[in-house]
Formats: sequence, C-alpha cells, structure tokens
Amino acid sequence: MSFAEQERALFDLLFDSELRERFQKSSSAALRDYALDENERADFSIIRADGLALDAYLRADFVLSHLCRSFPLTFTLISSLHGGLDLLRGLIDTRTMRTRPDERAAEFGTHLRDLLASKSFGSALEKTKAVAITEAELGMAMTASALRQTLAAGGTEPAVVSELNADWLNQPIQMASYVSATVIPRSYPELKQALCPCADTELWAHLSNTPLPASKRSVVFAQGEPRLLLAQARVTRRSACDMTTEHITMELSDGFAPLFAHVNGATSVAEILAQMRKIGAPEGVLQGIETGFRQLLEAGMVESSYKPQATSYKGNRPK
Amino acid sequence: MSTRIDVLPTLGVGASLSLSAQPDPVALVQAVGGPSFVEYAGRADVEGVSVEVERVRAAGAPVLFHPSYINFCGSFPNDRYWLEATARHIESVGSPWFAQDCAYCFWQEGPGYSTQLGYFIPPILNQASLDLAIQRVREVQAIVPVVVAIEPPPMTFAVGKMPLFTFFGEVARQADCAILLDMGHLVSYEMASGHRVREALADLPRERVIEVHIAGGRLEAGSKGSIYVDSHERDIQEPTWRMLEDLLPELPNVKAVCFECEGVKEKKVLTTLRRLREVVCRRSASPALISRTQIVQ
Repeated sequence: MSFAEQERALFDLLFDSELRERFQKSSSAALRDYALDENERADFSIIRADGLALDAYLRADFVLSHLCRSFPLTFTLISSLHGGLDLLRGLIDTRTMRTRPDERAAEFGTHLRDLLASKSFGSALEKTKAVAITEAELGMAMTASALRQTLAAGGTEPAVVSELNADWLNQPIQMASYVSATVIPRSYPELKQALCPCADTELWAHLSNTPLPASKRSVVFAQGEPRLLLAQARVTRRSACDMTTEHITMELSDGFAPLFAHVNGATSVAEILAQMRKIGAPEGVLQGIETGFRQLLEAGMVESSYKPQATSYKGNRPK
Repeated sequence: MSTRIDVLPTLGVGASLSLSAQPDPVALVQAVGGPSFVEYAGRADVEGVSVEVERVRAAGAPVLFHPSYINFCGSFPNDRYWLEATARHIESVGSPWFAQDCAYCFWQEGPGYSTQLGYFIPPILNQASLDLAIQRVREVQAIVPVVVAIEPPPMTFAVGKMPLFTFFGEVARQADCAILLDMGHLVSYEMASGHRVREALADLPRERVIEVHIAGGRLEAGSKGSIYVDSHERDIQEPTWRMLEDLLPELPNVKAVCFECEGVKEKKVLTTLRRLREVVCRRSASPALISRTQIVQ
C-alpha cells in the first residue's frame, strides 16, 4: 500500500498491453497483483479505458518515431512484413521502457533482431540480408550506447588519430573503440536511398502511412554488391545533461571481412600481408589489402594496439 | 503569497515556436501584429539555442523558456545537474519566469526529456501525489532563480479522484508557486474525467495564474465520447476557445497569453494572434495585460 505501487501500476498500464486489456474488462481484477488498498485502487477505477488505450497507442508511436532514427532500414524492412507495423508497436513494452534511456536503443535493437529472425521473408536469402542490416544498425546503436555510458561515468572520449605513424605497417593493430563492423548486402547509403524516401526524423510517420511493399524489398535486395560497413560512434555534443553521438562510417569490399580475424591486437599489417603472400595472394590483392588497412587506420576504425582497448562491437564479422 | 507575481513583467500576447524551424520566429516578431514574446522548448543546455535566442531578442521580443524535462510531480527527483543547467539557461536568456507541465518527464531509470516516455505522463490526482508534487516544485525553486509556474498537462485519461484545480491549487499554495493554464489541456481533462474544471474553480488560487496557453488539438472519437489530443499544428478547437472566453475574466494576474503554434503557417499564426488579442481585450481581468495588448492592436 504505497504511492510507489500506484506509480508502478500507472506505468505498467501505459506500456503493458496485456495488463491494459485485463484492465478494460475489470480494473480491480487487473490490479490485483499490485499492493494497493481500496482507496488507491479506486483512483484507477475512474480511468476511461478508451482514453488509456489511445494514450498508449500515441505514446508508442512517439517512442517509435525516436527509435526509428537508430534503425531506419530495419524499421523499413519490418514494415514490409505482414502486420509489420504492429510487430514494432508490440515491442514498446515494459521491458523496453524499463531500460535506462542511454541503453534503450541497443536493448530495443536486440529485440528487433530476434523479431526479424523469427519471421518469414520472401526467401531465406532475403531474410539473411535483412538480419545482416539489422545487425549493422544494432552494432551502431550498441557502440553509441557504450560511448554514452562511458562518458556519463566520467570517462574520456577516445582521441581521433590525425596522422599515420611512420611504422604503421609493423605495429600490431586492433579495432578502435566504439567501432562496429558488419557485412551488409549493399552499400548502406545506397540502401537508405533506395528504401527510405525521407529524413530519419520523418520516417516512422511515413512508414505508418506507407509501409514498404515486399516487392520493392525484393527488387532492392536483388541489386548491388555486399559491403563491409564499419561505423565508429563519436560524440557531437557533451554536457552533464545532453549527449549526442553520430557515426563516422566507411565501407570496404566484403572480401576484406575475413582479414578482421587477424585484427586482434597481436598481429601487424605486415604480418597479415606475409601470411597472405604465403598462401599465394597476387601482388594486386596484397596492394589492395595494404591500402585498405591504411584507410582504416587513417579513418580511426583500426588503431595500434599499444592503447588500452575499450568497447567495440563486431556485428556478424566473419570468423 | 510571497511569490512576487506583482513584479513580473506583462508580456502580452505571444507565440510558442521552434527556434530552428518554420515559421521563423524572427520573421514573425518583425511582422505587423506578430508575437510580443517568443516561448520555446529546448534542451537544458543553453549553448545549443543561444544563437537563435539572441536573434529573437535582437528583434525586440523577450523569451520564455518552457522545456519538458522537469519532474514537477511523482517520486523520482530531479537531478541537480539538470536543475543547475536550467538555472544557467534561464539566467542566460533572461526568461522572467519558468513554467512547465506538472507531469512525469522521466521515470526511475534516469533523468531525461519527456520524449523518452513518448510524452508527459499525467500526475495521479490524489493527496500522496500532491505531497510529492510540492516536494518536486520546491526542489526546482531551490535552484532556479525566477518564479516557477506549474501547468496541468494534457491528458487523454485522468487517474485519481481529486479535482484538477484542487490538486494544482493546493500545490501552488503550499509550494508558493505560480500557475500556467493551457486551455486545451483543461478541455482534455474535462473530457477525460467527465468533470468541469469550473466545479473546483473556488479551489484555484486565481491570482497565481500568470500565463495562459492556447493551441491546436483534435478530437478523437472514443467509445465513451470524445477524447482531446494536444496537436499544435492543428486548428484550435471551439471548446478550447470557449474555455479561454470563460476563464480569462477569472484570472486577474495573467502576464502572458501564448499561442503554441509550432508547425503552423505564418499567415495563420498572425490571424490567430489577432483573434487572441481581441479576446484578451474583451475578456481579460488583467488591466495591465489589456493595455499591453492594445499597444499592438
């Protein structure tokens, strides 16, 4: 019998659709599991069930319009499934909403990935491609969340490397902090252009009125070449109250992905090249690998492993 | 009443706008019949808006900061960092008072903007909640350097049996704060609760009401009648205009009447401001507000 129990009941009524349904049938029976006295329960008995249902619907819509900014392609792809928008609405539940705001997008993304993995697409290949895209967006959400948490706890932002060390070829390398690496079916900007016709801030409203046709998804998936997408979370604004992040991205041929098995903090680019030479890789390929690692080092996606390692997420990086 | 409402400036009829979107606040301020002040929401840190605010002030309009991240009710206290950032923000932009909806903006998982919950969660209207709201208001007053005003939030449902004006009147008296009344929010409460706000008008310390809001909304058909949904880009509903006509004569200390019009076309904003000024001059119980409004008319 406490006000805290009333607050708990109020929150659950807004974000727990099953509780809300039971509440519509009988408010007192629905709230039986809350330690409320008769007076406290009576505060809820006056609630207009239709108003509560509308509030919950609109509230979920607002929350989704924000989460959609972290998962634009995933939301678009899910909208192409039968009942896809309702599937997304169903994920706005107490589990999601009880997550700390800094961690919510990442937590929500894991539910999205699980949801996608349980659904049928036009073909198994389409499903694999859709899940890969979700992995990429989840990776970005996770690195952004990890960065925000580190900074909120008083940690420092990793320094951005401006210049390549003269001996870079011989230094062991590792993934830089807050970097995700994922193989996706097509270039990320190409997918965005093909599938998302408006800004991320407008996308949920657009999809709510115009879900992606499944046929368009199939057409878009049938084109383009797989790419290795690397994304690093960086802070654009930091204060005690407000912190915003963005991702610096870079794409390489998906053939580069297996090489990441050697980006382990112990192996240098020179050693990777030597191993490749040993198994008969032609000079042109070796040149390409060297150039690729140079670009990764220059972009700060990969770094010398003499620095302490922080969080990184490697998505579906091939083993 | 120790809150110094009498020394607050009378701002007249203004508009609540997004500082970085259309309609452009500066263009509106410079237009004939434009807003006499500009209210804005925004982040706690002033650095993010200082350039835009300076443009508005340079155009001759004072500003009011009206955010959505303070818990003025409930068990979850406001973080000191957020309150200190608010105080810095208010001082920096010269907001003469600080008003916000008295609702949940964040839950126990941590501070943040109301968008993290979708939007405000309305307070539970009972005695325990009232006691906590007083604590929350005092917590803000302890750090924020200007008069604090609380606003009944929009609601599609009401929880708790205490009448709205009884709840807000008692919080205002005991915490010694001011009140902002949004006409659409009051309509929303009437539809959600089935009660008229006037039934408890005697409980409202009317002299503490310093600001009035009016904004667009829409009526959704529910199974138990209409449900009001706050929707600033829409037209102002007739019941909302009626609420304004009805309550203005009861409020002697209103310093500012604000049309919340984010996303509304400039021409429509100016037309609505004209109508608002006409209503204020005809119905307001505040001579200072009428004088200030007549200057623009």
